[in-house]
Amino acid sequence: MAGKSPVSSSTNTGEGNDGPDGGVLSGRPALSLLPFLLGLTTQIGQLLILREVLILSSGSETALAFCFAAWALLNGAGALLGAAGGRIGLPVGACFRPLLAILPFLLAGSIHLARVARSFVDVGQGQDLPFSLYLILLVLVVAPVSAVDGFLFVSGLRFLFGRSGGRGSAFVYGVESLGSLAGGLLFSFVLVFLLDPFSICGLLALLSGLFLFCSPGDGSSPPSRLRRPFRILLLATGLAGLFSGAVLNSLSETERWKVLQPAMELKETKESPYQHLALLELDGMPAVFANGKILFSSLRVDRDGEPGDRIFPHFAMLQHRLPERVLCVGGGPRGLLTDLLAHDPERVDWVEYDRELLALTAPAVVREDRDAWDHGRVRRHLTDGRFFIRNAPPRTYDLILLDVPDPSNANANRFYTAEFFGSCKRVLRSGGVLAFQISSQPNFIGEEMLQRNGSILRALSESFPCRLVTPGETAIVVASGKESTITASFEELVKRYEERGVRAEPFSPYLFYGCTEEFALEQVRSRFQEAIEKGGVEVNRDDFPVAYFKDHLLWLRMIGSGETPKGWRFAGEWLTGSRGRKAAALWIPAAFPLLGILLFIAVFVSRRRTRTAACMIRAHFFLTAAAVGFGGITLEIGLLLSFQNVVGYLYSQMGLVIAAYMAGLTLGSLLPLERQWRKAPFALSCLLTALGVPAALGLPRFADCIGAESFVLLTFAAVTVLLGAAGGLAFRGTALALERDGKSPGGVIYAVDILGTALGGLLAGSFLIPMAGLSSTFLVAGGITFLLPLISLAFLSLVLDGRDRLF
Amino acid sequence: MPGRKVRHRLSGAPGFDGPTSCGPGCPLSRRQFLNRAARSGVKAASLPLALELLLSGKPASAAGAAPFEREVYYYRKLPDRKIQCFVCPFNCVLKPGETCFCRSRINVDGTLYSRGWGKPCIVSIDPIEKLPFGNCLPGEKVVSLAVGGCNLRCLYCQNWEQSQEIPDKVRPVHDLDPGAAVASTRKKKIRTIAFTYTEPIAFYEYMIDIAAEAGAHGIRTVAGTALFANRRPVRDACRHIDAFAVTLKGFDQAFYRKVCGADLKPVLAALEEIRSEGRWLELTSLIVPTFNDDMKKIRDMARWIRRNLGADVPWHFSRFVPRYKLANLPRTPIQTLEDARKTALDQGIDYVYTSNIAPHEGNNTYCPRCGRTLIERVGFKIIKNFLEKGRCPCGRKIAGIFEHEHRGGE
Repeated sequence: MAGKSPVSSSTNTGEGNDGPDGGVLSGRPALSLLPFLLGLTTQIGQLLILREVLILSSGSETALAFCFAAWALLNGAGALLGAAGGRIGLPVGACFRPLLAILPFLLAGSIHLARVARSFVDVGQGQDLPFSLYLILLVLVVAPVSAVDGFLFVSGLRFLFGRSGGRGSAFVYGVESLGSLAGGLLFSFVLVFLLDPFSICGLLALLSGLFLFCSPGDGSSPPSRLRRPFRILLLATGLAGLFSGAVLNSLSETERWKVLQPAMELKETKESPYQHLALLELDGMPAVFANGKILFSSLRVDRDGEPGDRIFPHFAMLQHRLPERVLCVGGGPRGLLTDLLAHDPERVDWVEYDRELLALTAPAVVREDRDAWDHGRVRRHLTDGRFFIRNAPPRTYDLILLDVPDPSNANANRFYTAEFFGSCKRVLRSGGVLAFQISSQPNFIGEEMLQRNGSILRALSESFPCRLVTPGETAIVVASGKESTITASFEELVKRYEERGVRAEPFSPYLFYGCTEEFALEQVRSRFQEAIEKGGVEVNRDDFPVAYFKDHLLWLRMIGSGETPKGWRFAGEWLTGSRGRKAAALWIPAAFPLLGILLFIAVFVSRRRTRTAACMIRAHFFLTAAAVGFGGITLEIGLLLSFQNVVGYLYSQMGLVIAAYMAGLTLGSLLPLERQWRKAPFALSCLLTALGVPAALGLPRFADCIGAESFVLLTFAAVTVLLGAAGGLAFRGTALALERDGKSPGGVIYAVDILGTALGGLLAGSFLIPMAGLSSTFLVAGGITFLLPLISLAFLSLVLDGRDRLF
Repeated sequence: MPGRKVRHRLSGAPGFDGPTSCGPGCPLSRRQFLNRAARSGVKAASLPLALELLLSGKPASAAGAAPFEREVYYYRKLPDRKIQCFVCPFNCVLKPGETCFCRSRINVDGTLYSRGWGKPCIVSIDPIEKLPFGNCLPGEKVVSLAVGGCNLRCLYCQNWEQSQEIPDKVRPVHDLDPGAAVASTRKKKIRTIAFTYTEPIAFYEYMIDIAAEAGAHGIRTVAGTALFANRRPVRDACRHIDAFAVTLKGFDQAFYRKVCGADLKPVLAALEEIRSEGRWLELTSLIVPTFNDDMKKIRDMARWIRRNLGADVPWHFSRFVPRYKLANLPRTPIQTLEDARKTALDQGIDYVYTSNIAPHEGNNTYCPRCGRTLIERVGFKIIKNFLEKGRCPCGRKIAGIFEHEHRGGE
């Protein structure tokens, strides 16, 4: 499940005791705030680490899935360590408060570690981390907080409840989950806008100090002389952290960029709702990095500096006979507006999604380009480009110019889908032109790039019958309706440029020569046509982000080109189905219901009360736990990406989705159910899944209809709670079903659930969603979380048959 | 097994396993430990798949092995059907079934074959300025040919999809033997063939066969190469190739090894070989920010060029654009390119260009005597050409090839 895996309410975590039998909670309800603090701290910690890991992986959302998986595994490992420590008589419970107190400091350390982790490996400046090294660094970064979180769960249970931990685990889990929910909301709606990561750590330390200061002693041991000074020190450190966090953060940022770009000078960093931004300088040339990846460099230090970059806006403007109304998505800091205005349009609507990006780049942009931002004919709109186009009146523009990055993440991919191109067509006037750029190759276009760009061209062809792709490392793509005036004739372009009387020196229309060579144009055209006609290229869609996936494959091939071990390469081909193989990744989820059905048939045809049958029944319920973990995390990652598709950003609001899922999970798993109602959780889980999955599928369309962002957020949260509750109920049912003589193998269920979660985390972001699409992934994950509880119901009906004992 | 790569002496180069300087018993550094742990992890993860690999038959590289037509020119046979290739300084020793480091030559039962002969993956028509040439047949259109494979591992390779792949695994445009290549060029009324985009040293045999055929029909040939080759193949290539655009990637052995996976010295030796054979030579240096943008090194390089190759060898400073494995570096600041150009001019190099940035004064050809603009360019496009039979109006003869002389044949 989402990072913080649920533990069965009936988990029996240990037999030892660190305090008086019965724990310290009795008579000291204030102590129950400690698990709440644990949940709050770890949830905020997880979100902070997720954001740092995103930068470590140069902005790829796939990193989130791997981070969830690593978190789940390490969390489980920490819990197992705690349980094992208890068994051999270590004072696990006694560690609870000291560990809880140092958790914020551990978090601050992890954040800094994530920033400087690259210095531990031999990867040169400017290079992406190889996948294997990324995974190692991810574990290094995630391990301290996630493992300690797992350990603290067991430790807290022992501290509060001692030997009578059976029922207590439900309480600790519930209170901790509430803390997680509060942490997610606090982070998403307050902290992210007010404080930097280190100040947040300071705040958490301060909170810990206050909680511990106010909490009574456990009564198990005489008060230590050190306790009071320790708490005062904690409070003081927290306060110091809160107020000096900005300085620490700045120092840590400087260290990060010394590792990432040692030769460049860090000028400024900013956190925006969309990304982490940094402005660096190299020999006076500014470069902007978003989530650790270079967004663009050389913001035209002087007007003579970058005329080559100006081919795109001029080429696009010349495609239309008379571009009066122009929409420009992005590109302001790169000086596109200056070039658009050189063609004398009536009005330019300029959409920039990130206010902070403009604030960061404004001082670095050359004066002429900066003036264009505030030109009388330019109207600036600070919103998501997709959102703007979706809500623009029909037939408004003569030209839409998109200056967005390659579809290297799900966010950028939204600007290359058939649905988006359909929206563009709607707002274009008759004869209107859409233009954008995408990385390509001058002559030979390799298979992965052909598939990626081909999927975008196919999506484009659904709305625009006339299309043109120029050859080059960066291809300019222009598309238009039937009344097209688009051309790649060098002579015609020069003629239009001169007839229009454009003055944009030192730009010269002769620069079009490089992208209008007939032979190369024909080669590019025929290569794409051949690939598309052969039927091997899928259409890039919102819920089937194939271009994003192919870009990922292209990246993997690039990173692994040359010396990739054969097994590694084969694994990739096996999972993704390239080179004519069937994609194995898509069949892995099917194993869960298939195995469940097989076990059911086996039990059905065998004598039902044999030991073998009992083993098979037990195996089925463990399978259900794994499936719930798998389905839960897959649904959650799907919801995160769907949220991004609809709302337009994720970076600042991922806490909302995660917190909503945790809330659902808590509700589901804490439902007070007794053994005699063993079927109820499964039935309820099926019902909620049956309601939640269609709702999740319908969310994008629903959001299209209602438009109001706050309502969209609320609806997303509601659906996420629903699906979280379904997972929690299934988990609760599994724990009840496996209960024997009042005891449940909670630790094992927990471990199996974590394994399922880790597998789901790995598969969902990397393969399932990009290869099968969001809708299919929702159906697959929903199918699993529906079918397995359903089979469990069948099992219970078959085996119980009026009896009370399952085994 | 075909497709297996060979270890060679450049153990510190990118793409090579193993320690760089640590002997037995030497304590591991933190970096080395993590590096090894990562590699071991990858290998361990690969183990379960090995079974599937065996079950699924031969790996793709072997399954699709084409019948190889052309035996390699420079190699010797060793005992046990091993061979040693002599085309480039790696001098790969191969067991039967093994492929050279360039991925372009394979030992088939004790005989070394070229894997990509007759299978160009790029056939294109380009301006000759694209290679880049500034003083060689300005404005000329060329038929560009490239075959997959390369003996370098440049982290910023522009054509990595072809160069870092086995030639017969890169989808060829179509089969094209030397006769057909020349006939096709003549049919298009083009008078020059260029071997470029990937590394011609990797498809040396194909290049030489085409150049020989082209020479017989009066068609010129030019090559864009990193020239990491042994002297003898270079000397022999000079008999057929008219002009070389060589990328001298830096003037630092550490840079060559770390970023390109090669050695500097053999390149310098091969450059001297071309010059001594009297072939036209132009140099290109891609300036990668923070890697090879030290002006002191550029000054040293300029001095070496002037002393060993001559002041009339044109030198192009090309702008780096983030790509391939160096995708997270900024572009070269224009000021750096201009500083490099000025440094080279100050050291007495006559023709210094800037490329990958246009329009820029460094795109033009100037007279070294009077400073007049002789060829005005915007990128690859020639706007004005004031040269008269290879001379400046001031009378100074400009070094280069300016007229398409008839080279015999038809």
